[in-house]
Amino acid sequence: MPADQPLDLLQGTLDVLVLKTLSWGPAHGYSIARWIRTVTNDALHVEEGSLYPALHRLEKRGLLQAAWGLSENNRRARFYQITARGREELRREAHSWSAFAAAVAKVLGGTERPEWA
Amino acid sequence: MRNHLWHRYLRFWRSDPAADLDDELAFHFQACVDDAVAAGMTVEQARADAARRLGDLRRVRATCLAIDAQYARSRSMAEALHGVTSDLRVALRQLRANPALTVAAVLCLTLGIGANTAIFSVVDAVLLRPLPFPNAERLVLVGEGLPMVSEKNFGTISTPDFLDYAALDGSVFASSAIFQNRSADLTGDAAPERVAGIEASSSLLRVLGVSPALGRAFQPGDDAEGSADVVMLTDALWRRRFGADPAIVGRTIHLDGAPATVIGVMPRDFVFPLPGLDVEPAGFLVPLRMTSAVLQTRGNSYNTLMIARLAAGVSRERAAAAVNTIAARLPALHPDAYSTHARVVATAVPLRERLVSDVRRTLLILMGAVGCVLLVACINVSGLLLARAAARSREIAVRTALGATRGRLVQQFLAESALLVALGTVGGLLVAHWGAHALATLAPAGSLTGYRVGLDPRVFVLALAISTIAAVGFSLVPALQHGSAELPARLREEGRSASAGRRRQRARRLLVVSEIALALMLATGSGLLVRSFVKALRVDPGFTPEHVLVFQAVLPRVRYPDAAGVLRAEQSLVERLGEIPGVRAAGAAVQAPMLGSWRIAVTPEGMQLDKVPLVVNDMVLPGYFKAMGIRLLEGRTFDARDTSSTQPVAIVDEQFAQRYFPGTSAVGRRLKWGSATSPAPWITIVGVVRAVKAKSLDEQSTPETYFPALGSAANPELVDAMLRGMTYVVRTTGDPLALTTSVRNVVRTMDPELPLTHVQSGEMLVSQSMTNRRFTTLLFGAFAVLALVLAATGIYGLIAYSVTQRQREIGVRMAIGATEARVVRLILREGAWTAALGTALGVMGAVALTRVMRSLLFGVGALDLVTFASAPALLIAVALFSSWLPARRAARVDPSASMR
Repeated sequence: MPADQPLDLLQGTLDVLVLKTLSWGPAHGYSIARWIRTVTNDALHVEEGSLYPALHRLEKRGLLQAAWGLSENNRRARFYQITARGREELRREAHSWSAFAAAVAKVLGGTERPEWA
Repeated sequence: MRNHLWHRYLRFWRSDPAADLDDELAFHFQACVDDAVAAGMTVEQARADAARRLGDLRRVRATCLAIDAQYARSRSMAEALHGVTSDLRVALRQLRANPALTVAAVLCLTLGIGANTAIFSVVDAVLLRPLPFPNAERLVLVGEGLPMVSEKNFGTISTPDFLDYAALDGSVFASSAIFQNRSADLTGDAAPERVAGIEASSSLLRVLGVSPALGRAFQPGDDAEGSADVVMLTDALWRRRFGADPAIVGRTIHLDGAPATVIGVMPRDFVFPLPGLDVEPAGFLVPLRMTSAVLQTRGNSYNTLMIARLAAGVSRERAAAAVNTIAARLPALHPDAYSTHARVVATAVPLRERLVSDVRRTLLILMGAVGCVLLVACINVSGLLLARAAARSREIAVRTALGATRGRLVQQFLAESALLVALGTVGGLLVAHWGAHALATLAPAGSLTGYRVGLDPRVFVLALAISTIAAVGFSLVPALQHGSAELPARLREEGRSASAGRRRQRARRLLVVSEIALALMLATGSGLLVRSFVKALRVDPGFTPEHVLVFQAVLPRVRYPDAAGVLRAEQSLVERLGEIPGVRAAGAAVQAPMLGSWRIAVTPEGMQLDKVPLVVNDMVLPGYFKAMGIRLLEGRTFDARDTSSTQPVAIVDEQFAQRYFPGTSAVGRRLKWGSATSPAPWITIVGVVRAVKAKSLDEQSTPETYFPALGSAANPELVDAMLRGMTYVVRTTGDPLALTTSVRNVVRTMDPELPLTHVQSGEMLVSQSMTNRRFTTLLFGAFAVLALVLAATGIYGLIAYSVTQRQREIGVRMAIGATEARVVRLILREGAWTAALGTALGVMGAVALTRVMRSLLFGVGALDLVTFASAPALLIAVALFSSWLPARRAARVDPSASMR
């Protein structure tokens, strides 16, 4: 079920999503995109083209490895796999995301009134 | 792992990253379309939907390609680095696994590279690097010659002739200058000391393009007659004698007792004159003045060096022609100095050519010799690596089977040899650093003064070039040995079969043959030099050097103003020296044997000669011949009666007597200075003495005349020019050097301000005249020994390896009854064949080499039979011994053990 209004992605968020997705196992770009769409109910508006610069950048940083393989319907596809360093990065990023989200949630969900109000 | 393979794939097939990216994006697009179609969309709808979802593909593509390109760059660098480090790691392991081989190879390279770099540093400093003056290639030396007297150009000019050549300044020459040796006693401030210096025209520094570090240079007025006495100091003298006093300029110092004002100090790197000009490097410079006395020397003495800087655009040839034109006019211009039919020629020679004329050939020959040593060392290392490659045969075969290409193997071998060569180069540079210093100190006195011998970037680059070539060469040899065609054979080969690696052994034998040939060439060259040296040592110097002490002293004009006084003082010093207990005779001469010579033109009476003879001349005080041990053959020697007031007399040596008065006695005959028409008086010959060597044992001696020093009392110019400095000779019964203190005391009693210089024994006199020859012989000999040792280890390694390989065969032979001696003979035969082949080639090489060396030889022919017989014999003996060691071991082996 698509959300009413797709959210724009914050800078760097896509990287974490990719890493998280790949933490389940190697995948090609299309299945990564599909998975993100499914899990988020298409709430995040990911322009699928922009996935590729992210993948290539992560590969360059050594967080991913890429290799050609055969897709489920026997097409030549480029598979990405998360590296040990990638998992490390994911852990770090996930942690700071949670901290960020918790902080934002605290403010938004707050019932206390500020002193000047 | 998959990633790694992917990299290989990318590298090998040079895949196009853009095509890959397009494939990747196309796959995504197609997958989108497929899914959408499966979900029920039409193909057109699906495509539009996919395009929308993918967004701006052009931008995506550009971004990805930029990222990929960056990645590829860093990845290939990292990969190359990784490849190199892993190769090096493997290489290090290999080298550590064979410590003996590693040490041997590194040692070979260290010696080879070190010796080469050291010699090259000297060659570079002397022959290649620019002389230490700006635009030194524009500097020429002008020299005059008198074709009537000698076909050789003197290389110097008669001082007053400079005034004529100076007319060329501004046209042919930018500027020109003259200079000559002028030593002086430095007194005051500290103990009196004799210091070498030069007199130079005020233009010298301008010609050289050098300016003083402190104070000012000479100005045109400084060499005018009657101007104040000024002096410039070199940095070395300023530091040593004056403690680098910054206020030295303006101070007065005393040269030969006369005050002179210091006007400047030369920069630190200023060394002049450079070796090769027969003038000691100067400690000070004083202006050369054209006094009336100097002007009178025109056409009589040729002792002044003239240096000039060519004007822009003027060639050396044009300058030579210009000076020669002036020289031809000299007799007509100066009829008072030159007889009317005299001929004067002049030429201009580049400074460098003149400086290195004596040493160039020696240096190049040494460079060639040391190059041979390096070649032998490299061959040796190749042989070692080849032997090891044999031992690694299986490993290499396995690697090839696993897919290592030949290029990959070469890369691995390259890593190993690069490591070896790197170690060798480091060692070599250490050896060279030390060796260059040793060479500079061991080289014949002063021959390298002023040259900066050492490891400069050029020398370093040469060492590096040698090493690189060596490394590549070493890695190619074993790699090429492993043609992949014979791979299966080698995998099967167990090192047990007797025919194993026969090809490899043949390659090694070729290497050893060339080693022996090279070593033999060097041994032959060295043998010839040693024989020359021994022959030269055996030459009779014409005097008796044992029990003789010689020293020099110069009486300065300040304390000894008049000519007669100088001669009186010298005569009385000789007499006092003779009174020292234990002294058998004392005397003095202007120029003792081995200390150089000056020549004069003389005409013997009654001889029709087409040339005026140029003979060595000496002026001596009574007692000289006895003290020096120069035997009188006929007539009498000089005594105190031979003065200026008596009839002029002379003594000639046997060569003079034989050449100019053949068949008769020379005593009572006459000769005179100059040509037959010269106004000089006739001089009667009163005695004939043995010929002495004037400069060195290996020279071709020239006829010589002696005049009594006391006969010159009436000629103050001659006394000033020649007789103030004498070499005193004292003959004793015991150790001459033990006499030094008493001699010093005697001199001090006479004149406490008079420094003694060049104190040495007669034997030292002889031996120092041989320093050049000794140096060359020693160096060449060292290289020959080095090559010999390397060749010996080479042949040892070859035979030892072959013995290991033939272990089984030997076992079989012994089991069926071969005696130990038979086995040894069998192995020796292999060594003998190798040695014989190498020797045959080496003799041919030696014939070519020694031809080039001819000018270095003395008393032996370039094809001297003794050397050409003994050097090959030595080589064969060494080779046989080197093969006998492993042969003996082979024969001692228990047959049952070796066959198992």
